Amino acid sequence: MVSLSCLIVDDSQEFLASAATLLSLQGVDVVGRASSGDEALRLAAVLSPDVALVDVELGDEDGIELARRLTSEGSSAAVILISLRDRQELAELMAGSGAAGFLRKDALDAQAVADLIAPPGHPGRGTGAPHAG
Amino acid sequence: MPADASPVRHPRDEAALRRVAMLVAGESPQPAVFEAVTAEANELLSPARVRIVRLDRASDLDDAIARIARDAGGPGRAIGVPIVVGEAIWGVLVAASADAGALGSGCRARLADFGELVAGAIASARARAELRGLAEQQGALRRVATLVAQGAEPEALFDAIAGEASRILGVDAISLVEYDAQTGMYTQIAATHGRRAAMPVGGRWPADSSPLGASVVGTGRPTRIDDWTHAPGQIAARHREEGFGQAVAAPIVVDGSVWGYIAAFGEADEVLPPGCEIRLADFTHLMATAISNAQARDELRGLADSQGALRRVATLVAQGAEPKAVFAAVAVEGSRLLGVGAVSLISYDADAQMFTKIFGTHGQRSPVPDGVTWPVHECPEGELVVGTGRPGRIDDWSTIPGEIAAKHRAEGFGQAVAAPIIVDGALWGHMAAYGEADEILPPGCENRLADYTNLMASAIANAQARDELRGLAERQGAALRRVATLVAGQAAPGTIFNAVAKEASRALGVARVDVGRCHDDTSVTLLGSTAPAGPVGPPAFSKSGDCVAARVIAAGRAARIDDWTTAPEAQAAAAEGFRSAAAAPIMVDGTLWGVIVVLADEILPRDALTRLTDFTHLVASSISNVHARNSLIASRARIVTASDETRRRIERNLHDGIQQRVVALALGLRAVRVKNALAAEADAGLEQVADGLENLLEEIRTFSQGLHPALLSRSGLGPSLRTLARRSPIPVSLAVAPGPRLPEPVETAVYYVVSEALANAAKHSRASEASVSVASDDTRVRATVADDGIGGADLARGSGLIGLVDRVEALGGRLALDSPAGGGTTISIELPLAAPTLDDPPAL
Repeated sequence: MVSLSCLIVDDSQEFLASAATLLSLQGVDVVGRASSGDEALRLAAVLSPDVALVDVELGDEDGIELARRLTSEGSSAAVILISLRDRQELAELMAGSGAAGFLRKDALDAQAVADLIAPPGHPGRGTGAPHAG
Repeated sequence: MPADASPVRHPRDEAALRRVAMLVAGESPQPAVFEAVTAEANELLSPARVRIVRLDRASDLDDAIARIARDAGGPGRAIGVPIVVGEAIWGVLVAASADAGALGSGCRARLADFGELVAGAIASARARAELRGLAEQQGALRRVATLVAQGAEPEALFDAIAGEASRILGVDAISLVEYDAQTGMYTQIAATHGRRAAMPVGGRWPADSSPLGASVVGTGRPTRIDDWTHAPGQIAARHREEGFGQAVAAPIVVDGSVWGYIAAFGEADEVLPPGCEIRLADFTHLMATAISNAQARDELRGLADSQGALRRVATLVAQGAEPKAVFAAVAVEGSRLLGVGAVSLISYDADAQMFTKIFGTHGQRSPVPDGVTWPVHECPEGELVVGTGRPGRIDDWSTIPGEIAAKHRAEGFGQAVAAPIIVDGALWGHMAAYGEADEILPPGCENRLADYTNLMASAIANAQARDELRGLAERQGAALRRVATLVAGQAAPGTIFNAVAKEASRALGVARVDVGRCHDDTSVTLLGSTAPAGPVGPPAFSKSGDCVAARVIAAGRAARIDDWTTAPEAQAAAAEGFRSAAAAPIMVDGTLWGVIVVLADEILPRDALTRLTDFTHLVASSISNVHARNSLIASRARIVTASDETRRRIERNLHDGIQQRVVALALGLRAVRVKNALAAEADAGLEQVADGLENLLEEIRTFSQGLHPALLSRSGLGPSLRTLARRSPIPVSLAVAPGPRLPEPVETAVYYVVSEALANAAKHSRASEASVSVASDDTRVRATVADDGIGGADLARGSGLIGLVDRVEALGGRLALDSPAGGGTTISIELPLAAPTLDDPPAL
């Protein structure tokens, strides 16, 4: 599997730690962790990760709005929204977010992340967000 | 070629290594492996002696070998190979002999082989311990979280938490203790050691009874007490008597403050392992959200009980029941809520310093019959309430003088609690609850009673106002009676004020009457009038009325203008053609609420002002009545809001706390499996744990979805209902008419109604399909949920539907249930978008 660089955005330190450990062990290069929208935008600009995993409920902030900003403000990262909730419950909210896909947090896995990011030339499952190949 | 590098092992070596390797693979305890290694190596390397030495620092390696060489005596030698576990030096395997010849060629290689086995044994024991710790933690969390997800009673949950702590620490005696920061008291919530516990479950003690609580709560950190010999206090004494020794405790922190602690007690001769308090602290951290959840759920149950009581009383009020029946219901519901049989409702007359017994639930056993009046100083609990204005408790009646106290004792009553009833800012009376002689009323009982009297004050005020209205109507003539009947029948404010105007105009023989509402800026708006509605809407307050009303507002009392031709405001009035006017203030709760104005073509009779004043009294009583009715509705709405808030907190708790933690554990578990190549059996075991966590997550997810629509405020009613419809096991056709967002409480109510109705349909109706429709206009929203099932649903059965009635009525709406046997079920609701208030311009 091609090594991916990844930014994880979540307001739970516990989740950040365990997700980073698992993905690292599975060969993903976890280049940054953020727990707020501002921090995420800053890190995305500096680190240019291949993918940003963004929690839908980011404390008081709106992760879906953050996804919209990340994809519309020229970040090269493909955004995958993550949540404890079901896709079904969030489908209407996530429409038009610009995210390349959605993963439930307990299904987080390097392969699942890689599968959601289409290779260059194949539009991603959401909107075909710009993606650094 | 150096002998050390020889790849070929002697068969004897092979056999020895295999024997040790079998021990390691068989997961033998470390000491057994170490013993086998030294025995086998001693035999192979004889006469050299082999030792395993643990090193604190890698840099100690050479020193350790040199020391053993010295100890071997004479010019002896030692050879050491480091034991490396996980890239760090754990220790050294050393062979030493006084005879240098004994450490011949191949000795280092043979040692290295054994060293690797030792390292392998240690690494595998570590991995096992890590896995065991993880599995234990996950097991404990899973069992407790499952109870949370199933909505178990708090007691069951607390017992489970104490049990899990006992299991994880390997300590039999565990206490779960709650701390009340306000009173400084500790309460035993759960204990695994039954009769040996220093306090039974439910028992309370102050801080100076035991050093443990003070230490944990004071520092907010885990603590250990080694020596109880000189610890002061009764709890400490019991601790010694029962033969306990060391104790460790860790705080339970809920929402940023110390909620209580978990303590573990060792036997007198037992040494609790080092780090025990840290493991306990890890565990309490894990359990904090479960505990806060249980607490929130307790609150929710209390709110539901209050809601039921309020609904039953409010229904009586709405049906226009006799005040006496309302008062009795208030006392009976209070008795039910507190779980105390004897409850009295008592009114207070501040001028006469007398109490009147309104109603008691304990009939003949009451020292004072209903309706009897007696002096304040003969009612100790009432005197306490009058004196302090706050809830209170009388513990000891044995020394209280007087006949009533004696009767109280003779009837076998003990403790009493009482709480004030405040109506319109003044002490109306109090409510008291009396325990049996041997009964201890639970701590906080007086506060619960006070919460209840607060809740019921508006019902009492309403019953009182209605009583006054009835009195007024009896004293006055037919006109007043007609208005009083309208008020008692709870007609709409507009209808009432128009009727007041009409009756006043007829009684006084005047052409025009206006009833107006006064505002802080001295402006007046029209509430009711005898004037017909104009072509473009309701009539306006008359200009002449404005003039005389201004005099009333300025002076604060009734005023009249007999002849406009001589009045300074003549011009305005002349345009309307009236000759004279009179006005009187409507005073509600001591403040100027409004004004009633009469205008006549002739000069008003001499007694016009007196007669007008009767009408203003009537209007004031009506307003008090409507106020009380509105605040009754508001009380119900507040409870709905409070339970929604609690449900929201539980949902947040589950989402941010337990679910997040379970997911983190599940990912951690996967990480362990990726990191360590595990034996098939161990891996299968872990997979089972992982599956268990997955199921648990699903269970919590389902549970919290029914709890609170977390995404409703963000995504709106339409999308949220679509999610509900998709999730329903029965096919649902959904029609939500497009429109603007509705007020949040309205959206929430519609969501709950649809959610509960669909859930009921799925559970009970055997329907093959259901339909949901929602439509709103500027003033109201209508929603209907219908299924084609077996019908027979009943509001009286099952708490779900009655909860919906509370929710809908609290918003001033109506719920209708149509569910004939065999004819499907239709639930429809109609909700106003804004609750009507008395100050709104009435529709005429």
